[in-house]
Amino acid sequence: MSRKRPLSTVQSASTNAESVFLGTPIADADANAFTPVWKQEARDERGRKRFHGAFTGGFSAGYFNSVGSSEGWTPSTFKSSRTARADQKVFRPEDFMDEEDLAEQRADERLVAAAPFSTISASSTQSISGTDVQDLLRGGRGGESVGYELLRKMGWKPGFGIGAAKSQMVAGRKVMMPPRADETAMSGIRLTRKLDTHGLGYDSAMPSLRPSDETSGVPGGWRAPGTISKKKNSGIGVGVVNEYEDGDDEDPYEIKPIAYDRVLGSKKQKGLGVGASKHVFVSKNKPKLISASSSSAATSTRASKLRRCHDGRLPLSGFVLVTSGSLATSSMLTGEKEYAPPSVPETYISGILILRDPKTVITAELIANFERSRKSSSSSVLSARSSSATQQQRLTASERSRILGSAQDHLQGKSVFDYMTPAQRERFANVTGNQNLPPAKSEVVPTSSHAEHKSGERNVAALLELIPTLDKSQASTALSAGFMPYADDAEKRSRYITYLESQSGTRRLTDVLAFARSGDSDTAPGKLRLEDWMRELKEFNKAAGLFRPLKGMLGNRFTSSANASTTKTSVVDDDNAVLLQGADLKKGLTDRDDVRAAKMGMYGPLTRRVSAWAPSGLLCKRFGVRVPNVSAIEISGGSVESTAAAREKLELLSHQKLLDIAKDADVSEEVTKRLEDKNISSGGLKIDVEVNEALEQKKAPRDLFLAVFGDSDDDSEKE
Amino acid sequence: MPFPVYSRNVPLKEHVGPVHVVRYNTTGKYVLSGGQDRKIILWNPNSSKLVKSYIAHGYEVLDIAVSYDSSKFVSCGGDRTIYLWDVTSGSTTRRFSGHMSRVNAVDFNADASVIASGSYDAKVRLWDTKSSSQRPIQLLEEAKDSISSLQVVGSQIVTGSVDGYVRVYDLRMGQLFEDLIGHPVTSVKDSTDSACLLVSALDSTIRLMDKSNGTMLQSFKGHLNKEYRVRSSFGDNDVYVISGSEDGKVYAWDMLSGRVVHELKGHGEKVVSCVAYHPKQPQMISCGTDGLIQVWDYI
Repeated sequence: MSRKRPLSTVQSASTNAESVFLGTPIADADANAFTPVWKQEARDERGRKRFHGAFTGGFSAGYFNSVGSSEGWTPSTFKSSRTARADQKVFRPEDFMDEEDLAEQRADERLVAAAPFSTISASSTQSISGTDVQDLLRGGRGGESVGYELLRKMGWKPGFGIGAAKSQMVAGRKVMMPPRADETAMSGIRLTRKLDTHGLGYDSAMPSLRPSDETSGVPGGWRAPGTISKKKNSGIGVGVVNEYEDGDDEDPYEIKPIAYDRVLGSKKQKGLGVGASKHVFVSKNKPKLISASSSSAATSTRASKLRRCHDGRLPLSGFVLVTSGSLATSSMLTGEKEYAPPSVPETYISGILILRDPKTVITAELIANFERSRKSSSSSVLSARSSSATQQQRLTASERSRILGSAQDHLQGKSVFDYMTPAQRERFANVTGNQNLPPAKSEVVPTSSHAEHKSGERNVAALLELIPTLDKSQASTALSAGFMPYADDAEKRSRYITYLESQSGTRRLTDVLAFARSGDSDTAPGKLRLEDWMRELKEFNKAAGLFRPLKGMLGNRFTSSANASTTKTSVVDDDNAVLLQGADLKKGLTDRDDVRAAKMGMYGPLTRRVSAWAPSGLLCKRFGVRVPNVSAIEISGGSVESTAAAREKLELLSHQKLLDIAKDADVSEEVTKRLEDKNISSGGLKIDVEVNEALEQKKAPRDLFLAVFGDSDDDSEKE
Repeated sequence: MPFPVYSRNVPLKEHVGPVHVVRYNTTGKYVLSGGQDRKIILWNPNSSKLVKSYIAHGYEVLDIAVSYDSSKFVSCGGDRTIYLWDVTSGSTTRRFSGHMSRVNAVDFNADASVIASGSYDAKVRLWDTKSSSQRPIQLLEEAKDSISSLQVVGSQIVTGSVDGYVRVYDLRMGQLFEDLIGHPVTSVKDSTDSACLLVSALDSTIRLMDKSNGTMLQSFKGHLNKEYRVRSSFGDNDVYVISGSEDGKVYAWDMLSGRVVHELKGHGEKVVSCVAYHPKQPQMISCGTDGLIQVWDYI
């Protein structure tokens, strides 16, 4: 520590010395003047030693210099933050401040908006000064725009252009250099001098800035050039809660310059205008047109005469008030003519209605008439189309051709009425309630058998249309449900089964018609009136939906292992899935080659099926495998087809081999016999068990064996 | 190496009710077992001590697979759910559900990025452990009946089904090989060289099938397996074939000759449902419906 060394002691020491003083003594402050530099000591004006050398603490500190600790500015020793991370402190300026400083700082504190908000608040409250606009344009941070920063982060330097590097000759060498700035359009934002009298940021090319444009009424409708086509516009100060019907990618906080040529509160007007009636004044001199156009329009104008404007006053004399949405306005304003809808001809018979009417007794004539009316009306195609889609689907090509053929038949000029007796025509008129039927000519059918056949066909076709359709799978499941309704009525049950079979496709559709009594004369037992027949069929349709086995969600949970015949891309056509347990094995699966082969332990090509399988891309990625080109395998038929071909060729061999092994293995005689039968029956190939041609051929079988059995040659050699 | 024929005096007993699966971890230091009591228990087979038990399943645990680094394992069971576990924390990290009925078999692929699960609903679902998706990557629907066993070997997914087929889905070739065994398959296991498959079927026969052409190389008989899922396995670098049996014994065959070399009694008369061979040492574990886990040593 520094000690005070009074001047008197120095003087007394010097006086004590026995020497003569000549001249003025050298001042004490300059005592170091003659000592070498490295011996000199730095002292303050009060003679205290303040500097202790770099290695002993630098400038002296400690209590004497009011640092606050006896150590003074002791350098803190290095501590690894790895082991004592929690002890690590981050010092703030406040940690080194005393009370006075802190109080001063507190006094200076003000509540202000954060930087990102301050520009908005400033720009929205006060009119934008030139610098603010510049800030907005340039990025607002006083520096460069965001694009500049991004580019710079990507390695771009000011002065360079943008684009792919070009090879340039630099000092005789070819180097890749970025393009120069003047080569590309990259030259930053040009701040051109403003000479016109438009507002700042005004661009005449932007339609959204024009006063006619309807915006949300917020002052500020400038949008980016790319978004001109958008209907909705947003401006500064638009919150998230504001509705954005169309803009899901629109940024409500997007900062946009302000348009000054705006009217506040235009949104209100817009709100009124949409949906509500818009006042349009139409001169009364025009009403002739209105009354001429349509009566409805005239009534509307009559009503609108009494209507008042939105301010409660009557419209000006000579004008009427029209709502913009009404039909009259459009016609009135555009001056277009209105046409009444075409009137339905009185002779038109809606054929569909007749058939739909449950009270109608369906007779052959009626159906024929229905057919006729359908064809005679010009809208026959339309009515056919409007008839239900199920009918449309049910029409086969032959049925359609029949319909078309009958149409041609009709073109010859004959109708049903030509062959009707007057009595029949009378009854028909009573039934239909239509007295305007063509006169009955009671002609004799020329070639009776042919015409009868024709009309019968027509009847059949019409009746077939009446049969309610059932889903094919539904029909088959109802058939196989095990439980059959109508246990008490055997005939009805047989009809039900017939219906189901016809719908499932195992029986012809016309078989169902056999139960229908066609006309009124036929009273054969076991037949129903058409009415009853139809009702019964509808009942069957419902019953089939009701009496079905486990279906839907519950049914889907069970996988039938025995009869699931939907093997995908199977090599063998008649391939069924196998459950080699229980009765199924005994029933029908034994005659399958692969099952037999597996039974005998002949595992190999006979029991193997190869098919293409497409693993998903993600799966291949997870497994680290390239995605196999499955389609190529399938198209070129590489393995699958060749396997099929090989199998075909093997068919012969395998049968033979099975025969041999069956003999060796002492399998039941029946299997052997069946195999032999199959050999003979399939393709009529006669194969002598003793002399096998396929095996006699030396070359081909060898290849086959190699191809199919691979290294299991010893098997073939054994034979 | 000699075959472990001696069982411990005290078997590992913690499970209540049948034990369905036992598995070594990749080093063979620990054993995981899952049982009817919905628990998965981590054992130290050398000290016969229980290390940890993992409880999350709502129904029986039917299969367990351990990842390549033994840091996690996956389990499945009667609750139609597949759980991915963190071994050390003992908590489930992922849960996959989507199967319509109980999940019989589960396995990881090589880097544990995909979990394959086979279920009673005859489907194999492949789950992605890397994404947070709850939907499987792919669904394999070729099987006509319950998937009883499943293994992912390299780029192949091998499934054994009750419909009597062993199906090998080859990702690299984009092909599916279906080999008809003819009897419901209860267990498929790939050999170390990945050339053969060990296939257990319900005709009390274990077959060694050649993967390349589907021929049978060897068959192993002598044990009883008519009704239950009894797992078989290779042992000691494919020198032995071991399998449980429904007569309470563990059978060991010599792979080349196909002869029974050992019949080990350890589970009374109950079904021995699963066996596993230590990856390095002559040690073997077996579990059964008697609720015991036997550790077999050679000393």
